[in-house]
Amino acid sequence: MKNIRYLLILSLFCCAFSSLDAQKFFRLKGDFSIKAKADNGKSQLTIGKFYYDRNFKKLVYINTFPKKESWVSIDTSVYHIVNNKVIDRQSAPPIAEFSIFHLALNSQLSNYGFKNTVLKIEKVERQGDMVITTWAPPEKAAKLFGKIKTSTKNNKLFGIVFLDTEGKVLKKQFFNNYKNLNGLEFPQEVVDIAYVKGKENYQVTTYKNIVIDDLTEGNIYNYSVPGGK
Amino acid sequence: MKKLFLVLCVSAFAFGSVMANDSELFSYDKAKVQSAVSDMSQVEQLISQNPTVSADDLMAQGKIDASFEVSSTSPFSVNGEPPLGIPSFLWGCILGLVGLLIVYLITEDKEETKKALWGCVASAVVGIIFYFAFWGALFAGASTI
Repeated sequence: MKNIRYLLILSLFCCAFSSLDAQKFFRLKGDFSIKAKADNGKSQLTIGKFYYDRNFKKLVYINTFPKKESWVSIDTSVYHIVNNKVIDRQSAPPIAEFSIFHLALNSQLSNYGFKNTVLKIEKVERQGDMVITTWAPPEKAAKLFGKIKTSTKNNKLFGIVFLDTEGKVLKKQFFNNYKNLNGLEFPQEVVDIAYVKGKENYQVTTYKNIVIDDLTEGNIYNYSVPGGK
Repeated sequence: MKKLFLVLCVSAFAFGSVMANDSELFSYDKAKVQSAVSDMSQVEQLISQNPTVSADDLMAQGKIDASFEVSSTSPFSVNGEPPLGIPSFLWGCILGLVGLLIVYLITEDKEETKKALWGCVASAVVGIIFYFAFWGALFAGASTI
């Protein structure tokens, strides 16, 4: 009888710990700004708020500058909304599921979600304080798409480099200034460098005032497109 | 012995060079990037101090000039370009999410990519037709037993 009691207590402890481990974050919101500089000298500044709930999978940006408007990605559509009216709708990939928000909430940011795709790991190597992983496309697509390299530092995504089929760099992304939000690590700055015809185009995205699992503003997380979804 | 030592040194140097290339990929000139966006950082600072200020106000005050893009900007597009103007979700049917992501990044060789896209779509359509034909034939055959 004693043994059964001990076993019961032990199994209860195990269940408790496993449920703690299974606890996942499900929502993110905050302020964002995007500063972009093209090689032709054009500047672009976008400021606003972002909302994402990994259960609804609707990525919502509410811009306040330069224009007051909303951009919402739902399934394979991107909606442009101004004054509660849909101005434009474009077909697009399911961006939300590949967003930094979805990946962070699902603990997939360290490999940028590549682990669950058709990409195969070709090589993993440690160089200094970085672990660099080379991802290769399927054979049939190898003539069209080049490889992708990701690097992590202390298990946090540090950079991604996209290569063309000849190994030339197409784009780099760097994830800086990680903040620990009650156990969720999130980069507060993402730097994009795109190489187009030998020139560099820059984009710096910053995230501030990030709140996780906020239960208010549920109607924004589950955004209802006017006249649609 | 000397030859072996020389071979080992050359190998180590070559190996080190290969390794250095990969880590060098993950570097960028931070000062250059911050300098490039410094004008927008200043505007961002102005807006944080006065959240109600509009792009037109800033233009009138001379805080931003004609090089500043004031039209609608989607946070989803990279450098303001849609994904090749093609319904990219079609790529997703073939290569999954990675293919879709890659479409966004490839802005060179658009014609080649478009040809590949239509080839992939055509093969998918043929595949679907064969699939339904096969199962249709299978069930049709089963129903006569």
